Amino acid sequence: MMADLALGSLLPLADAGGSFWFPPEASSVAAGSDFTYDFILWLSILFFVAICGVTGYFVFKYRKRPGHTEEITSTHNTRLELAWSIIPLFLLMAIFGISTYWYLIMVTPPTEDVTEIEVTAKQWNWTFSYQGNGLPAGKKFMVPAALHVVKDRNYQLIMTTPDRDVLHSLFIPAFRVKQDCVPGRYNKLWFRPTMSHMESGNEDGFMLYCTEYCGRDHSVMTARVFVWETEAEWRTAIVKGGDITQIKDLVTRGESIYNQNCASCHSLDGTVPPGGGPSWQGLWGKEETMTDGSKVVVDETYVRDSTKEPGKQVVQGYPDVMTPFDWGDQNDAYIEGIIAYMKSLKE
Amino acid sequence: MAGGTVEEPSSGDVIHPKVHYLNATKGLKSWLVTLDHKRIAIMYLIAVSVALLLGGFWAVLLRTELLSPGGVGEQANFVLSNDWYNKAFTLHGAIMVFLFIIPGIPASLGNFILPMQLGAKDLALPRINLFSWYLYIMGLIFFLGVLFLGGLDTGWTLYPPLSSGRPVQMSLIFAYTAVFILGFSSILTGLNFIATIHKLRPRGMTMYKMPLFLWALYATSLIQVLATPVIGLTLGLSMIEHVFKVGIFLPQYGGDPVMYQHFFWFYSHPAVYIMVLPAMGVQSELIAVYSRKHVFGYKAIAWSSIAIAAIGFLVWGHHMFVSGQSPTAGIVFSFLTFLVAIPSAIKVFNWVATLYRGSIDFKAPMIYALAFIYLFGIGGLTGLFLASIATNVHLHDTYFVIAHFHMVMVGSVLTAFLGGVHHWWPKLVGRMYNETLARICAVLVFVGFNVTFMPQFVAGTRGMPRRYANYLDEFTIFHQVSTVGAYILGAAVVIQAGYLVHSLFKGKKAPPNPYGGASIEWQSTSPPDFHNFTEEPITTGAYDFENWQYISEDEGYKLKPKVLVTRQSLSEVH
Repeated sequence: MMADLALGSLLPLADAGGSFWFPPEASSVAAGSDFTYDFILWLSILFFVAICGVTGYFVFKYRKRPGHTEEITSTHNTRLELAWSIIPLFLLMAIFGISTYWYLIMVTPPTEDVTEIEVTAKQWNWTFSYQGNGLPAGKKFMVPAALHVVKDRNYQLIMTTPDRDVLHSLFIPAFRVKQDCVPGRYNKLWFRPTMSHMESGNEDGFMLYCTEYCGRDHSVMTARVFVWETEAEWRTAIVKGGDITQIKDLVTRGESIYNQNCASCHSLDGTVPPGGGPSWQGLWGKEETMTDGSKVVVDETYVRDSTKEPGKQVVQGYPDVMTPFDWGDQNDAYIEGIIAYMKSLKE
Repeated sequence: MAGGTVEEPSSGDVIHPKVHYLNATKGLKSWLVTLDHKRIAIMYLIAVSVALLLGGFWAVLLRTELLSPGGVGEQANFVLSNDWYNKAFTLHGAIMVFLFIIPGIPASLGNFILPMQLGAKDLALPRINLFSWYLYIMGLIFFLGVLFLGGLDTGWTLYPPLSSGRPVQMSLIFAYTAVFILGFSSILTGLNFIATIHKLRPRGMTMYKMPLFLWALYATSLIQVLATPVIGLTLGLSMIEHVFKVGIFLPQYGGDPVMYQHFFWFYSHPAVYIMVLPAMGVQSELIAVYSRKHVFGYKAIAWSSIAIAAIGFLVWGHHMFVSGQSPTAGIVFSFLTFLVAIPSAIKVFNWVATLYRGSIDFKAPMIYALAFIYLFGIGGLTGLFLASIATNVHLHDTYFVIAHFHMVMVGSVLTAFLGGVHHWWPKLVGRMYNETLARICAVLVFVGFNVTFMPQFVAGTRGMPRRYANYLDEFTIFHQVSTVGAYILGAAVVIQAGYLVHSLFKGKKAPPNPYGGASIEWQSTSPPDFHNFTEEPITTGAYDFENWQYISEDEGYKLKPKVLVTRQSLSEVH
């Protein structure tokens, strides 16, 4: 433990495959961002050392001591003052130029060969939806918490958040990209991965964070980015992660759905997290009183309604805050799983 | 030597007045209904110090939670649940911003020193001044209400939909109300300062002869008056939306959450300059006094305050580079943000140049002033990484941003506040504090700062997002070092509170001018008379230190006889 605290462990490089400052440069724009960073860094170090050096020298040389008195010197010097205003101005414009050049590349997606991936950000999980590109036709694969891409391809993320949800932001440090997800808008973000996660040494994928504070479990809202070498690997991973019917056992399927989508608000032990909903412990078959005073038994219909339109029947004493879920053409398979899992909790 | 004999300055003068503003009238009521700017300033000083300790408490608590990673994607917590961690950083931010940093220097030191530097009896509008203190206290009470109602977890920025979009919550309504009221307190103080600077300058003191602290307060007041109404209206709209479900910023009712961000930062970015400009003003005074040099480039420093205030209104969009704002707007905001770096740099260069051929006295306030140059240097330069969009996209909302704005807002504002409080303490209360302890604490504050925030820059570039209760193991070392720094900083501030309070009772009585300041406030006794000055002060140059000489018997400085002649000849004219 103490060894961890030793200053020496400050030195290991960031992430696997990274430098002192940064995670690995795994996208086509990372190098530009890092170049800009280094440029500013060295200019800043130059100025900082100069300011502190001169200050230190003056402070030492003119320190108050017996026999030393201050002298009256000129109170301004227009040429000197113009020089130290105009030279930095030019340097700042140089930074602005370099930075803007790279920024324009960052925000200008290529016009062709761009694969679109839909991203839905919700409190507190990420869902990435894929279709086409050799995936089984007519099907949309919704993969929770895993962004799958192929190396050296162009991608555009079409990102949104349900109306009743809050702001989120998608951040992939290894790609040096970030974009907010705003309810009611479709924000776009493009990138081209240039290094696979295996190459970089991150076997579990690159980190993907939510970086716009989104409430209680903000720090839990993470995902992984997998950059595959071939399209075949990519397809396999998506089908495995995005086809819930692959999990044949309904209770296991439901448990997996629960952990991904429901666990942060609905406990299994009777407790209610802040701002959360009814615990699923003993919930199945129970008669609940709704906010309008009516009574409803928690059955298949109620569960189905509550995922589709959570605000329709809210149990008394709980806030109306749940966002609707829609798993597209796999909706039935998901709800089947949830119902089976809730039933299993009753036993 | 016209006008006959001039008394040689000696300890024969009354230097410790028996009756002064602190004991001119007695009883709690004499304080609560006082119109004396000095008493109001002291009441503000107490209130903002309470806010500082309260905000610091939450900081220490959340840094303690971050000693242990907990693991991203897991719910393991050290001392605070996720929910309480979120409340801790919300309360830390909100209390520090609205109750300490914004009012801190202007309302306490500014209130006391501004009229005295003008040789005036009071501010132009004393009743408004008292009213603004009561508004501040009401705001403080509402914030305490937020605490008692179970806290708030929206972040100090109160971004919708996370704030107004939730079911009606009393603590949120209290927070909106608190900020709204505090805004009025801030506006009224600004208005008062503007009126005072325009109307109550003494004969012979043109704008260009004012101490730079007053230029800084003047620029600050302009921003307070012009920008604060926007935050009041924005939060007012949020409250209406929250309670009555009208769509303004909430998408489910047809509103636009990004519009809130525009409104919010239209105030809150200039607010950064409301915080930092007074600090720069204090800094200009400290550097000049403790190096006994006329400040270098007076006009450049004065006008750079105004330039910062003006350009500061045009850069709010740099908080929103990744919000979905158009890239064109982003580039324009980036450009303007780079421009605001110039006046800030000019000030730093001028301070350094002021030291040249001075006689630098390492009293506690000067240690703070030197720490200011260093910390503001880092804070300002790291701002360049954030003004540049290509790097901002990566660094936005990471620990790099946290480290940057703490260096600027706290590294400079807190050090200037502490430096200023120490510099003017003898004038404020008529007592001297323990210089050795003060120097040790000043060094501790500096060390604590660096230990807290330097590791956060590296954690940030490596991708550590802000406002995370849990984090990956690889960031553990950065967080642990940072927490140790926060403890050092916290300890230093608590020790300071201790010896300053101690000095009130046991401190040596202060001479009128212990540190040799040349601005007018040092011509009064310590503490000043109820009327500030018992005889008309002489308008000498605020940085003409050669007018003062050290009298070792008094352990303080006195005006030289040849300057005193001016007073005599002046009184003959009238």
